[in-house]
Amino acid sequence: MSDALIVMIAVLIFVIITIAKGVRLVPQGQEWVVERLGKYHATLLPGLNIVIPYLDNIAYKLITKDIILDVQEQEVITLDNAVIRANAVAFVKVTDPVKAAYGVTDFAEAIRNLIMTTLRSIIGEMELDQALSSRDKIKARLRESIADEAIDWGLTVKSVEIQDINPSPSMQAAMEMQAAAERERKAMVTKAEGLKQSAVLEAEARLESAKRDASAQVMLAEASAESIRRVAAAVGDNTAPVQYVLGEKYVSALQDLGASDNSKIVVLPADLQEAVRGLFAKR
Amino acid sequence: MIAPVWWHWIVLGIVLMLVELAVPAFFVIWFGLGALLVGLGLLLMPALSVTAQVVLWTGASVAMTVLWFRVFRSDRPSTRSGNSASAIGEIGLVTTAVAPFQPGQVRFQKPVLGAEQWQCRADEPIAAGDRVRVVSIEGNYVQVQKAH
Repeated sequence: MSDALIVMIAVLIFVIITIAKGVRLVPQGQEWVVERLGKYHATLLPGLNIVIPYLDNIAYKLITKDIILDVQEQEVITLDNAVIRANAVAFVKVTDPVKAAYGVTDFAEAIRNLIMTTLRSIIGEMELDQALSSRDKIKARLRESIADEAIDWGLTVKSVEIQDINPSPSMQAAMEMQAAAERERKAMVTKAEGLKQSAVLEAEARLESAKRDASAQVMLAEASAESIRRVAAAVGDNTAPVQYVLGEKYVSALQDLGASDNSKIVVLPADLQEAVRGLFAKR
Repeated sequence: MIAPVWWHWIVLGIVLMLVELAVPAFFVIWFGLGALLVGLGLLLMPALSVTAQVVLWTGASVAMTVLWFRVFRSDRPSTRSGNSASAIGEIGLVTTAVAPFQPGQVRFQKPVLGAEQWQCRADEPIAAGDRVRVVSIEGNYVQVQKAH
């Protein structure tokens, strides 16, 4: 083996290693931060890139797709001292790889913690019922609060979704009892309303029937007055036919008395004419 | 020390090109092509020394790598999806006037990074209704410029 060959083989190995370390393929969806001698130098975009192997060093490989951050469940106390459990999921995108690499030690952890604390403070300003029913409001405020910090970390918060807001088990039982009691109250009120209405209707019915009865009696009285008036007009001054009719009725009444089954003691007036005239009580 | 024959180089070249498939690093293939060239050269000039062969292999490989990056490499990304700068260059419409130290609002035709409406900043006063181009994204603000 000649010296020249050994040198050439060494040169070959050097070239192979240099090219191997210098040609970098960055996959789509990633961006790499290159430091030259410890200082930020460039950001490698997806595709084929060349770096100088002995000076440059790939310090950070950042994923620039949207990152899904799951924010763990935590207990939050509302304004009216109720404990609820809430968790969230955030969609974050690295829009400035340099800031994401150098602005914070671990941006995913940072954002996750930020969301947790912000969520606590937002729900802490709300009443329980409000917190349970206004997710969109919480979401919007969460996004606003995080945006300012995210600037320094080169991140864009695309959205923060509240996954679950659940009252603690004891709270849930109390809420269910409250709902049941409310329903019961409504049922009772409805029943009472029904009773009241039926009583009112019945009284109205009675009033109406009394009115009708009264007017019927009035009409009856008017009718008998009219008939008496007519009889009186027919009689005029001559009482003989009236006496005759009355006498006939008297006798038939006596006949009826005699025909009846009970005691047969019938006192007959001696002077029938006078008795009938006595009915008129005319002196 | 056995001097390599021409077909050794050819086989080495083919093997290296196959290795490129297994290790997608995009540099082994040039050494493979270089080895094929050396094999052809040895076929034409069988008198080449081993040293000359290695020099030729090294030179050819480096030359092809450099040539690729100089001539054939295209810098244009095929898609911007998933890049950090995916939203830069989008055209929007200013809905609230913007000036230096006075953030405004810009609306895009289709949602950019999950929102249609963005707070924006600019280095020049831009009236509402003007078309703007996104220059950079700062967290949840966009930096805009007048689009011409």
